[in-house]
This record gives sequence, C-alpha cells and structure tokens, in this order.
Amino acid sequence: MSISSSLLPSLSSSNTKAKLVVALMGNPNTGKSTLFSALTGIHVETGHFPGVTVERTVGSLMVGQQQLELIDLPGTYSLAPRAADEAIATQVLLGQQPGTPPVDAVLCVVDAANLQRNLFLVSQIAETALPMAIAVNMSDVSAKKGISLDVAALEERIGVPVVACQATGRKVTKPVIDAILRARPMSLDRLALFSAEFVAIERAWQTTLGQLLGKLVTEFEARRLLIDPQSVGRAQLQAKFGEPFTNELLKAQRALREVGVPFELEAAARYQWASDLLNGIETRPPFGTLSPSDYADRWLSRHPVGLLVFVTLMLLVFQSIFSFAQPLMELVEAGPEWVGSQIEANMSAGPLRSLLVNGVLAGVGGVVVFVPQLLILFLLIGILEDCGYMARAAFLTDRLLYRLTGLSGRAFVPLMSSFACAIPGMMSTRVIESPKERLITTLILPLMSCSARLPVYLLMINLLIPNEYLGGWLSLRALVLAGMMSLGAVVAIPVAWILNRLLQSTPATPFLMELPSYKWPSQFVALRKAYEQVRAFLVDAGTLILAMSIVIWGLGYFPGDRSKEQKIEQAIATQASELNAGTDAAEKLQAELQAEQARLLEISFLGQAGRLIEPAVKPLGWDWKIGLSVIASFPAREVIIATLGTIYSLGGDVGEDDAGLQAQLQSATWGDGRPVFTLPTGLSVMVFFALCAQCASTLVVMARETGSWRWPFLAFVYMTALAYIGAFLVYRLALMLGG
Amino acid sequence: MTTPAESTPQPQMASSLLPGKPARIAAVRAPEAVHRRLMELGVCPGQTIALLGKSPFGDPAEYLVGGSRLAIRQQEAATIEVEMI
Repeated sequence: MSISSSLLPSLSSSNTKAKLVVALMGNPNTGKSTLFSALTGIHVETGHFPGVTVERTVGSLMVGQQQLELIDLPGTYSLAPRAADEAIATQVLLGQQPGTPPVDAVLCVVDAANLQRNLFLVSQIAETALPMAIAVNMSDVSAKKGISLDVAALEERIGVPVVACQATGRKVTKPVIDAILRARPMSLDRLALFSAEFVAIERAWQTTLGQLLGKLVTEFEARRLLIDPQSVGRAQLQAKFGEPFTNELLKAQRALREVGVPFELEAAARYQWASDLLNGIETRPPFGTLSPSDYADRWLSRHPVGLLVFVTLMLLVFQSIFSFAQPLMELVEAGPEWVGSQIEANMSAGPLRSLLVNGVLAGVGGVVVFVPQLLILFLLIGILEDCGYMARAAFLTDRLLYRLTGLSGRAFVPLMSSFACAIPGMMSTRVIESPKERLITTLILPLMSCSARLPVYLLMINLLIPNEYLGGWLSLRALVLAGMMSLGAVVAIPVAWILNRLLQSTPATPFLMELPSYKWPSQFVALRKAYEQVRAFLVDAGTLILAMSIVIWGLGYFPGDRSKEQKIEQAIATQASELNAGTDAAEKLQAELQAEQARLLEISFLGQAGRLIEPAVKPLGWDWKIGLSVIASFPAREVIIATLGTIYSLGGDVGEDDAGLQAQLQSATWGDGRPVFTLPTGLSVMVFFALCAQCASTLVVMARETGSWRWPFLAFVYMTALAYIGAFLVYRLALMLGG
Repeated sequence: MTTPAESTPQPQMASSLLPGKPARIAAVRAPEAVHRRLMELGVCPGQTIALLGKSPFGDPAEYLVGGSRLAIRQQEAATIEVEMI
C-alpha cells in the first residue's frame, strides 16, 4: 500500500510551534558550515554536547513570525557510529540527546558533484521518519565540472523538497528556507529497499525487541541495533535489560550473517537506491574526466614540487605568526601593564594592591597575551582547511608520520601548530577521526617545543654557549637552539609508540581521507571559527589560569612581613611625585626595593618550597633558586625569567636578554664558591623545560578536548617524569664528558 | 601467458592499478573496521575506480572512486579487488 506523499503533512502546516528545530546533516566537505553561516549569520552559539567532545553549534533565524533554530551537526558519512562521539548525530535526531530539544526537521546538505555517495546518509536519515529537505550544495562547482542535475525531477522521485544552492553565493537563504518549511517525511515506498531475507530477519528482531522492551520499537531503531556494532542505545539497553537483550540481539545478528555481512547488505541496498534515483536525471562527464583540482594535485600532492610548496607554505605560516603576533602581543600586554601602573599610583601599598597587580593582572595578562598568536594561527589553519589544502598536507606527511609514530597525516597540522603554541594545536586535533589517534596526538602535543620555551633556551644559551661559528659559518648557538627545539619532537616518537602499545585494545581507524576540491576559502567561516575558538579558550582556560596565578602569587607573597617593602615603595612613589628625581637617590631606593623583594620571596611559601626540594633537584645540578623558579613557572613557562629576576634582586621586569640578569647568573655560586650556572646545569635546565608540561592553559584545553581530567593528569605526570629523568641524564652525561 | 597448471588467475588489487586506467571494484576483502570505512566513502562492489597518482613518498595514493577523490594507503588499497574495464 503506498501513501501518496502529498498527503503527508509538510513541516510548516503541521506545526504551530513558535520555534522550529532543524538539524543540519551531511557528509564532510559539502559546504555545510558555509550554508549554516549564510543562514544564521552572527546569531550563533558554540559549545559542546555534554559528556562528549563533539562540538555543538546552534544558530537561529527569524522567518516572519517563525523562529528557526538550526543545529549544525558534525559532518559524517553514515549514521553508524564508530565511537561515542558519532552517536551524537543519531541521538539528536531521535530526540534522545540531553540538553538538545527534539528535532522537527532535517536539512540534508549534499554535494552536487558527489550525489550518489551523499545519498547514502540521506537514505539512512529518511528512515527516522523525520520531515526532511535536501539542499544540493556547491552546484556552481559541479556545473563547472560538467555535472548537471534535474532538481525538479529528483524532488518528484524522492518525495521531499530538493533545492539546488551555492552557499557562497548571494540569495541562497530564501530557497533553502522555503525548502525547510516545506519539509516532509519520505514516504515509506520511497525508502531504500533491503532484500527480502534481510527484512524478514529484521522484522522478527523488531517484534522480539518490542516484546522485550514492552513498547513499540521503530524500524529505524531495530535496524541500527542490528547493523551497527556500537549502535546508539545499545549500551543502555544492555545495562537495562541485561542478558535476555544481548542474547536476542546476537541471535538476530548471527541469523543476518547467514544472509551476508550486514553493512555490506546495507551499502548495497542504499547505493542501489541512490543509483536508481539518479538514473536519467543526472548527467556526468565520463568517469576519469579530470577537474582543475586534479590538475593542481598533479603538482601539489603527487609530485616532489608539492613537497617544496608544502614546506614553503608551512614556513610562511610560522613566519607570519612571529612577525604579526609579536607586535600585537606587545600591544596586548600593554593593557594590563597600564592598568597595573594606574592601580599602583592610586592605591596604597599592601596585600590587596599586590594581589590585584601581581596576581590578578599578571594572570589576566598571561592569558590575554596568547590571543594574537591564537587568532592568527586559528585563522591561517582555518583558511588552509577551508580551501582544501589541509587534506593535501595530511596526504604528504602521512607516510613519515605513520612510519615514525604510528599516527596518520591528519596529525600533522596539530603537531606543527604546537611549535607555535600547543593550544591551537590541541583544538585542531578535532580533524583526526580516529579517537585513539586523536588521544595519542593530544598527549604528545605538549612535547613540541612551543614559543614560550624560547626565552629559557635563549637565556641559557647566551649565558653558557660561546658565540662561536663551526667551520666559520655555522653558529654554535643556533645549532644548540635547533637541537633543543627538536628535542621534544624527537622524544615524542618513542612516547607515541609506547602509547600506541598501551592503547592497543582500542581499534585503530585506517587512514582513509577524502581530498576535497580546492575552493576559494570563505573568510566569514574562517573568521567565525577563529573567533569562537579564541573565545572558548579565554572562557575555559582563562578562568583557571587566573585562579592559578592568584595561588602562585599567594605562595610567593606570604608569609613575610612586607612593611619594609611597602615603606620603600612609598618612598619611591613620593620621590617620583615630588619630582625629587635625583637619579642616584632613585636608583638607590630601587636597588633597596629589589633586594627586599628578593628577601621576601626567599622566606615565602614558594621560597620554602624551593629550599625543600633542593635535595631533589641537586642531582640535576640546580640550586634552590632554580628549583623555586621552576616551580613558579609551572603554570606558565615564561614566568621563570621574571622569577629569576626577582630572586637575583633585579626586579621582576627583566627579559631573557637582560645583561644584568646574565651577569647575576654568571656570578651565582653554591655555598663553596663553585658557579651554579655551568654548562651541564644550563643544559639540564633547558632539557627540563623542553620536556616538562609547564603550561596550565594547555592542560585545561586538553581536559576540555578529551572530556576528562584524567588525560591532562597523565600528560603532566609522564612529562614531568620524563623531564626530570632527562635533565638528570643530561647533567650527568655533561659532567662526565668534562663539562 | 597462462601455463596449463594455472587454474584461477590472481585477482588484481587496487594497489597494483596503473595511473589513469579505470577499473570496476569486484570485492573488498578488508578487516571489518576498514571495510566499513571504505563502504562509507563509496568504495563498494560495482563502483568505478582509477588511480590518479601516488604521493612523492610512494604512499598513500590518490584514487578516483565514483565521484570522489580518496587518499588510500597501500595496505588498504591491497584489499580492494578490481577488474579492469
């Protein structure tokens, strides 16, 4: 019995709700995000689905009196989940996702150039019986390729609204919104046909399941439970109904296996359906006709020239980060500094003022200083991703990464970004589809030598490495710097292997990647994504780092009678305001202040901690002052410079190139007169910094990206252990070699 | 050239395709996880496949499958049984 589709209610006629919830689904690389942006503009809110690391992007728009809420679900090829993350799409469609309202309709975004494969997902979604509409996107690109589709005929055959669009063009919203409002469920007779034997087994299973659960089970639910090994809801049903459920399920699946491999049967049925649907209404150029992207790839991804282009592009990316970010960072830092000086001028010295200036503002400054670098990096990565080049980067680097670490080419961009800063690197691990691989990449990311380690390297190198040139041209200092920066990456290789071993039970996902056609990147999408990611960082990581900065401040401030310090500061302030700036007197006061601050730091909790761990760090060649500085720099690496400055009575404003600091370090001695900063000690400090996870921001972002604090904890522990052992070994080795 | 002792010829796999020569996928003989993934991306019996070229390092390779361009490693391509058209 067939039901004429015109009798099925369309979305707007059957709905009197003020707000319609529409889910956007489609394959990756179909321009879904661009379409979403075009429809929702700036009224977008990003977050995470609770409990998983899947992004949740919701936007809204008004159509007359009707509000449409659009949920952009992650691109996927099939509703069959490979991990908890992928089950989200199905759960949202079924209205089983906590925190997300039930869906009223689905807009399927398909790629005009790849209809047959895209229709696989459409056919699965149709079985949920939700009202649907189809947007055939990127029709401009496919037209150029010589592909044409009779959209009206497709709508006639498939029974749901179909509209061709070009998300990057103007006037895309109206036809798409019209299609959404006309959305209707696909009628039963239009759905993909599975073989009679399959259907028989499925019906039997559906009935059994219904009896077991004591309620009506939809065909969709029964089917997915039967076909997918890790289907949505299976775990819950198993927990709730135990063995009877599992036994029946396994029985049904065994029966199905007699007919054929379940997902093969599904694929055959759905692709046949798609092929029949498109028969005669789609014209394609003959198979093997090359497109402009194919010609480009001849050089960019399949030729050694492509490697050259690739390396150059990556270098350019780094260069722009350093050249653009640096001046911006200084500008950004100036903000909190200015506020700090205002507070100091207008508040009397005391714990509150110190808390505000050295705790809160320093913390805020420490977070905000990341922003220029993050913005630029996110933007560049977003553009490379959007134009399609990122897939080529993964393609080119796959073999090397796989051979060395067991990871795939997709890990390249996250790992490379981490040489600038691990935070964007960690956020871009989302492109890695395999959960196991994503986890391993996330855990080794902090080993990549980020730009915050540079000041420490530079300080030690300038102090201890002679300014010589090997063979007259190769700078010894540059060599050591390059060595230190590569150390983390080199150590990451065996660590990745070990992690691979440890996580062996988790199935590996093969590296199979679609190479999208090159396209002009949409600035809007890239900008919006960059903005969202920076905002997320500021909110999540920012609050925690602020808290940690205050704690560290407290540990360095108390206990200690700070009255003398305050008196000196008062004297300096009075001096300045009375324009009594005899430079000698001002300098003398300044020196007094710095000496007092050094003393206070020594007797603070932080200082006591430094003394306490001295026996533990002595084997590394460190004295308690180094130990203290290292502890203080656990939230953020750069802090070591300021802390060393304070300890050596130079005030906390020194940079790594400060001559005074270098002089002080050079003359620092142990009790018996031996210098502290020898080459072995310098090397051990650098190695420690290379391998240790001294970045609270990274750990916070890691927790957010992996969904659990267990992983940052593990990363922190293993890296600190590695750093300690590494520093120890290097120190001993250097001593032995006569350093 | 076949000798009388040969019975069935060795099936050809996608990993041994020459660039530009279209073939039809006969079967996919991969472990389940790989097989599913291949199917999702459109690699199933009946589809046309052609090798576009390999990476400068030799692996992975770019294949044209149906209407899409896929990057497939040698070890996975070796599980795709094809017959020349």
